Amino acid sequence: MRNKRATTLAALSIGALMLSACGSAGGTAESPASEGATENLATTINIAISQAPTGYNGNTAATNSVYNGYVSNLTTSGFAAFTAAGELEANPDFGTYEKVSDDPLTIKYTIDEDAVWSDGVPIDYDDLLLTWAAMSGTNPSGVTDPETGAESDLFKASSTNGFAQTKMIEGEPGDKEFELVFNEPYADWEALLTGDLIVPAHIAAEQGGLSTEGDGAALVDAIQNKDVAALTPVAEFWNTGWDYEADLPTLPDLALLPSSGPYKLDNATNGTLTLVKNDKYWGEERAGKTDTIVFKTIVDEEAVQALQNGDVDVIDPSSPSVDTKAALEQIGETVTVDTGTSLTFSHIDLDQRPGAVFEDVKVRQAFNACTPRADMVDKFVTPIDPEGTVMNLREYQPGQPDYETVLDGAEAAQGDGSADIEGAKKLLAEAGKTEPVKVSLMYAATSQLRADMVALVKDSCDKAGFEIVPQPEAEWSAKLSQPGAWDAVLFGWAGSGLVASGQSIYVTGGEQNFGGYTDPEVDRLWTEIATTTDADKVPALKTELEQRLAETQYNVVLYANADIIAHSSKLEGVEMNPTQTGITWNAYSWTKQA
Amino acid sequence: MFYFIAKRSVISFFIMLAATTLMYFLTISSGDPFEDLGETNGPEKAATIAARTEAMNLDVPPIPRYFLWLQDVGHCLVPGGISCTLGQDRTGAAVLPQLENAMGSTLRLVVVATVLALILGVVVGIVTAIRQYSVFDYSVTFLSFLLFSLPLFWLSTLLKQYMAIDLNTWLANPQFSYLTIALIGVIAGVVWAVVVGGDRRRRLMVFGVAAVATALALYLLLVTGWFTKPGFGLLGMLVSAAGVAVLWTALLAGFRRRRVLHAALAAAAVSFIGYLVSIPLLENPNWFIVLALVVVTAVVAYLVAGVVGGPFRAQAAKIGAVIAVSVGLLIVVDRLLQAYPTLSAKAGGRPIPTTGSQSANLAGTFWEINLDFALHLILPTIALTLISFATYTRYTRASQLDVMNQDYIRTARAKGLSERTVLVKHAFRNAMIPITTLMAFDFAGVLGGAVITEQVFGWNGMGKMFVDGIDHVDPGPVMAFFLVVGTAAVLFNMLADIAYAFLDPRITLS
Amino acid sequence: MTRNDSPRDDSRASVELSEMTLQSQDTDIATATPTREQTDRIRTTEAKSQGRLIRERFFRHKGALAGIALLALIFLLAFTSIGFAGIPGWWNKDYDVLADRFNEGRPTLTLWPFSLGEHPFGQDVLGRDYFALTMRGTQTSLIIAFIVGLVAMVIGTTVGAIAGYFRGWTEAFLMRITDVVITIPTVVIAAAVAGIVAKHGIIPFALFLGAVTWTGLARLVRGEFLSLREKEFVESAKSVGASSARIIFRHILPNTVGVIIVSTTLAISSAILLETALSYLGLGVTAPDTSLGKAINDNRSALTVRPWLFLWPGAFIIGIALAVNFIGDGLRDAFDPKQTRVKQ
Repeated sequence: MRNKRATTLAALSIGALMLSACGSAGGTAESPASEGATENLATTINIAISQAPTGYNGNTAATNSVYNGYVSNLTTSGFAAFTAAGELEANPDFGTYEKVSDDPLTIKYTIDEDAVWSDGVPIDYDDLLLTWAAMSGTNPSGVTDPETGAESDLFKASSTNGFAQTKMIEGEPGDKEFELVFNEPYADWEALLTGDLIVPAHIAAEQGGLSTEGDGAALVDAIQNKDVAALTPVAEFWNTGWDYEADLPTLPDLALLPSSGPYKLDNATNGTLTLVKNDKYWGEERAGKTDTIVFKTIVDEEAVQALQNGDVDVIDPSSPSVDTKAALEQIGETVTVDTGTSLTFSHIDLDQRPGAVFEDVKVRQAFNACTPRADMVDKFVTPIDPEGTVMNLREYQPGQPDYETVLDGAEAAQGDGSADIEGAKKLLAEAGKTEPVKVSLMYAATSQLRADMVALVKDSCDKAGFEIVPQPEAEWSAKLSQPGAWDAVLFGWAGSGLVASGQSIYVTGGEQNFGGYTDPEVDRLWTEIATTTDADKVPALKTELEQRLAETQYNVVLYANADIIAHSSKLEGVEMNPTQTGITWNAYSWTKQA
Repeated sequence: MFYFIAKRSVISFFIMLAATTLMYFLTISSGDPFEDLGETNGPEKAATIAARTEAMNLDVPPIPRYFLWLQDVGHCLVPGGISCTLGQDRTGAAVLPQLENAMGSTLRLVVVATVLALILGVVVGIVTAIRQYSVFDYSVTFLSFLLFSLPLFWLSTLLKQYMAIDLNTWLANPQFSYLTIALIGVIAGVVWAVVVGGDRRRRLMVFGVAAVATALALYLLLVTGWFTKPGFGLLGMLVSAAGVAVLWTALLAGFRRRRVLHAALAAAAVSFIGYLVSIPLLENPNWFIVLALVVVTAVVAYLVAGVVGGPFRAQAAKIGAVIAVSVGLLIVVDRLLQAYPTLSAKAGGRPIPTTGSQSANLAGTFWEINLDFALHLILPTIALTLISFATYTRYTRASQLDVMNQDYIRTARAKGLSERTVLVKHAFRNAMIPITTLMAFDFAGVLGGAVITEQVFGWNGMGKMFVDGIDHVDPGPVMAFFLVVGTAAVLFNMLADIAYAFLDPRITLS
Repeated sequence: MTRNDSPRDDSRASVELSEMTLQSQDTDIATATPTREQTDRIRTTEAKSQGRLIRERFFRHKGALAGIALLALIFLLAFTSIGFAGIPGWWNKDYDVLADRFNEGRPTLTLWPFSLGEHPFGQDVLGRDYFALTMRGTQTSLIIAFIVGLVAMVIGTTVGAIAGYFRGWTEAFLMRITDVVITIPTVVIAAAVAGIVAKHGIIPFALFLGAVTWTGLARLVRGEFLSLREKEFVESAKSVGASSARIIFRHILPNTVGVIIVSTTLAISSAILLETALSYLGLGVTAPDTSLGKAINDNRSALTVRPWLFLWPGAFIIGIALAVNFIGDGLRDAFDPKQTRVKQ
């Protein structure tokens, strides 16, 4: 009995093995997917974003987020935009501009004759005037804050930089040409009317109870005459009327959301936003190539698998790890990976107020010397971006074209970034430190990367005569501006590509100058830089600035974060853009093979 | 009864009130609502702080702030009053619309997961109880403990890799080598042998039959391209209908009464005719048509089975209706399967998504849209189900064993009732009593589990509202989430108590 | 997570109906149909204490024994390898010492021939020994789990005992509080609490988690007390003038030990998973501390690339939870005097 069964089993298994040698069952001879595919979704490109867009008007303090920008790159037009190289490039589709005078700084803008909102209303003077009114902070609401005594503005703009320095734009309703006149020179004038700044004034006026007759004459009147009563409802709509519901369950009435770009908003469900080609788009350069673009909300950690599964075609994870890249490359040829340097950089700010640990410049230099910057790059940057380097400048990131030129001129800033323990010891001795210098190094408690970086600093600097005490804080950013809450703090800044945006980080008493750094020479240089209107002169001034900042060891700059994007290999035209414009900067030109 | 409900409602209301207080203060003390603004500067920062302060009433001390929130909730309870918003989130947007939107997808997920876990868990639990201390019992015990011990997101990550990415790749070109087919057959054989049990000879028989049948079926499905164009087909439906009839008869009546079996088969025939007749109606129907068709078929089957059933009219009629509804379900499944090829094509040939709760811009038939929902549900449901499944099997097993040790079961056996009657009529029913409470708890628990699942699978549901709310120290969305979860917990508890009283005559509600 | 709310340790929803407990319904290889071994024992007339019976029943539960062995092994490994509280262990590397990476930080553990190698579980990105790191995480997770279990046990037992023994307003008050806390799903209340205390270190974190997970136990203990306080031996203790404290501690509590221990074990396994879930939500243990949950969460993206970073801590989580669950199962069977094997 037993034998018999064993024989049967053996026979069965041999049979199975023999069968297996003969190949396999099933499989599809012809591809069934292709025929039906074209009718619905094959003309669609899906883009992953880690947070749902929050509003149509991305210029308010509440809605000024990267992800709103990702959408408005496609649904709005401006006079210029940042390219992949991080430089401003004029957008001839929308119009032209030129500097006509240096004193006072005057820029002449001309909007393209054919430029219209997707509801057919021309883009003209009233739109620009509303933008100016909203972004210049010149419309006091009459309400004062009981604590600060400051009067709030009708418009809750994300920033009034630039427009606050200009006079009201003169013109008549319906004008397509106008001049922007500055009260004082402004270095970043060219970046002023870019991106999604221009919103449809006729919608705001209508919703604010004003007539839209005569190319928005009523609104123009109200702004020009500072008619607070008439402007208040308009401003209220501008502030919140264009907001989406949280997590984007649906879009508001599409009639309120006209587009000035190659795509227009179509619908939204559960955090998924759909754009379709704007049939009223007049331009040729930026005309959309794919019918539909869909934004899907997916948290960064889940994005790789979503891309691998084809749920999305493009991902742009915001803080990629070494594993992100390896995981993407492991997927194989169906996915294309691109890496580069982002404008976000990590650095350690030092508390140098009188009496603080880093008051003495020698101690700061010692800390800079013992920080293993090159090691950090080896561990956290080059595994993602092989071309990543130590960052030596503060105002330029290695990815930018001027980085090398400026670095060549700023001798004090140069260096390979490897830890110099002996040098640090010597500097500390010169500073008269005989005991280990205790440094409380604060960082974001939730970030393992930051914890790892602090571990590297501690490993190295403890040998040089420091005693690094890691200080993880959940509420680290609130503690930034509390003197004495930390001795050193490790965090990141996002570079903007603008000339003067870093001013408040470095000048005496600057709002983001958390370490209490003060240097008259630096203050002077910044005043000069901020009022320089000739972009060509900036590198020379900044070279001087970088030299001074390095000599006085403002802080310890570490590296520019590596950036990674990945997309389906069926997609063509995707190019990384390290600026805040982001991956969708040229999405109108993308095509996807079915 | 009424007194009981009234009393419980009042108590529940106050419990809920106290729980909201606790939750509210925990939420607002969990961090700094301006945390994200530390690095920013300029008027933007001041404006955001001002806007947020206004939206979240941060200028009001915590206790009155809680009452302000309570007042907002109160507006929703009083009909016709001031508009109901459930307060504002930190951007100043009303919370209620967000909640309404989030609830839909979350409830879909939670209900499906609970129902699946319940059915699977109860069936497996009962089988393990009947076959106590068998290899099967031990295997299930081990498996359920293992599932119970898995971190949910860990499991989800693995599911995405193997159940979506790899399965999709396979589905694009479904084929197995003969070795794989043979192996699957062997595995199926082992599983069946373990489940059915018996002496060595019987196990071997079961193993052989199951292994060959599985391998053969798989082979046939593969060579006929079933995986690219799934569906039951006419013949499949006929066989399925007959099978359903036999199954229900076996379970509910046994085969001793031939007339009942005949009635069941008649009901199956009626359902099958219903299927044939409804083919044109079901091209692109809506839920109303589907439901109406099921009801009509059930009524006809009820009548026909009653007539055929003769002396056992009542029993036969009921079984007939059950069969009709079951076949109705099969038809729905069949239709969904038939929609698969076109939907799969629309999804770019990768039908099982790893993220989201539905496809954007899907224009398709009723079946395609619902299949799309179902495909999006697959992964999160499996993740949630597997974990509840463990609880249900363990409790059902315990409960069933407890019942089977009772004297009345012994009496029933002594009376000479068939094993089927003992198990189904006496044991099962009583074993289900404690499960009702379990369900009440599990439902609220699964809602809590959705917090993790939604995050992993990119669903914009209530769980996400909660997580974001906690992140932003924003009590509005957190409390909205809690209102639903807490109310569900309280309500289900009450319902369970009432169900208890209905199922167990020893308990009176007073 | 769902499992934390499942009535595994509290099958009763309502106060009114809480008398039938599921705890007493599971069964084991048991006494109704004596096995030969048992028949032999019955012949010897030696009296057995309750404790001994329980021990015997427990040691007959193979799963529970395996669980004990596994848990003991994990405990030993975690606490002796890298040492604890300043006492050095036998493993020569520290979890926070940076080093060069060998072979991209791959694990050096080989099973055949067995050898640990330099870094048995590999190294993380900074070259830290991942075995030491995993052991450190295991220590933290075990400490958290056991503190949570202990705190839940103490609070739950106290509340349940007082409510069940004194009844009346005390009971109403305590049980309403229990109802309030139990209304909030564990993961939800734990997430809110974690936001407040996680930054203060693992001990306060664990204490507070324990302080919100005691509710199920309180209900069970109360149920036991309600039925036990009516028993004759309590009556007789009362009649000879024993104090309430004495009756509670000497007479009733010892009889509820089973329920308490079983629930506590399950609370411990839930706590391990709860900690993992909170880590996933970014609300758990923070650096420089580490835990198993934090380790797998930090290395989520490593699943397909450096799987050892993800799988080793995961294996330890599953190992601990599985072991504790089996122990709980064995304890439940051991403590349940009504257990019988069903006669077929």
